[in-house]
Amino acid sequence: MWLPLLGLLVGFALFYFAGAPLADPVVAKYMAVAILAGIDTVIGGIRAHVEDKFDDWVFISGFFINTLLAAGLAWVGDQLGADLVIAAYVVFGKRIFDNLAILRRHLLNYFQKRAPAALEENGLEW
Amino acid sequence: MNDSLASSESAPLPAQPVRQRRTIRRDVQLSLTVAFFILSGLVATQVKTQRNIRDSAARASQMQLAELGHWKKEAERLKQANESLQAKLNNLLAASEQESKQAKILATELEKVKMAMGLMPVKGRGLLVTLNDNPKMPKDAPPIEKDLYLVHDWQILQVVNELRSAGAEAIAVNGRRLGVNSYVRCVGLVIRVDDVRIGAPYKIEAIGDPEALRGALEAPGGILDEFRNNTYILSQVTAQEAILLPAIEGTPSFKHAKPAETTDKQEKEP
Repeated sequence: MWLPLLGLLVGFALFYFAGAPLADPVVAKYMAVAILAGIDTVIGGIRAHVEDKFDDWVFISGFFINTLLAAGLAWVGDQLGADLVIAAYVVFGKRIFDNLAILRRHLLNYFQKRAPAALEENGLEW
Repeated sequence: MNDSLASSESAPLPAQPVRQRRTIRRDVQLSLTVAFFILSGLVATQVKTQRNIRDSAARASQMQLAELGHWKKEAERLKQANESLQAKLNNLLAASEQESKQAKILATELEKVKMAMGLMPVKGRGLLVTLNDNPKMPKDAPPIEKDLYLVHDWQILQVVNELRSAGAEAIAVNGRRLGVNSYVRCVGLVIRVDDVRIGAPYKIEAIGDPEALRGALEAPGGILDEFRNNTYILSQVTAQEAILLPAIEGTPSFKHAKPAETTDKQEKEP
């Protein structure tokens, strides 16, 4: 699992320290939603991986399309005068917390039973 | 992993075609890496942007604070300046008032002095004394006796003197105002008042309390009594309600007399 972590660090360092262009304040607002969608997708992917249902096409397409969709929907909401951003915040926030909770239980299960077999017996039917 | 591999191995069982999932790719690491890279890049940019926005806002508010302080100071300064200017203005107003008061005092003083010197025409009630030569003078009388029929300079002077002692404030002889240096004297056969010849009848006008003046002149044993008893000249006294006396002609000049009370500056002059 070190490669994704490396990607995380390198990406952050590259964009933070290597003088990436600052986003426009207007764009920054939509980027926040996009990031939220991205985090949701990534955590969902990890959960799928843990549950052994990971599909990288689903994951990659979900990652890009969800982020773009979230930002686009927020933008459309702004054009209409409806704060769709809040809906995106709520939905993605809830999903992130849900997935994190499930991941936590998987993790607990894993450490309690200490065996993949036990995990299969108890864990996967949440 | 093992168990899912096992399940895919068990998939070929014809009884369970539903279990066949769509082809599952499991390149988790690469996918996650790409996703993490992009996501962290986005997050980094966002964090940087937000920090920048916050910083610039803080800077702006700080600048506004500084500006506010500056303007507060400026306002305080202007307030003080205003106060001091107001005080100055008040001082100047007071001073100018003082000055105009002094000017008024000086003006009244000057008027008084001018009146005292006879430098301006004056009017008021007073007394008219007329002295005249007696026309009944006999032609063959001896010169000493003839003198008794004529008005003399010293008689005019006596009347003027008496009037002054009785409180006359302004006196004119035949319309000629008497000043501080005026004289009445006889030159040959004519009487002159300040180099101007005058002739009979001699009208002596005096501004003052008519009754007091008349009383002084006509007192028993007074000068008019004496004129009437000892000479033949004609004298008449009439009170006047309004007498207008002209100013003296020319201004008195002082060549030898100097002010005795002098300021230092004047004293130093040779």
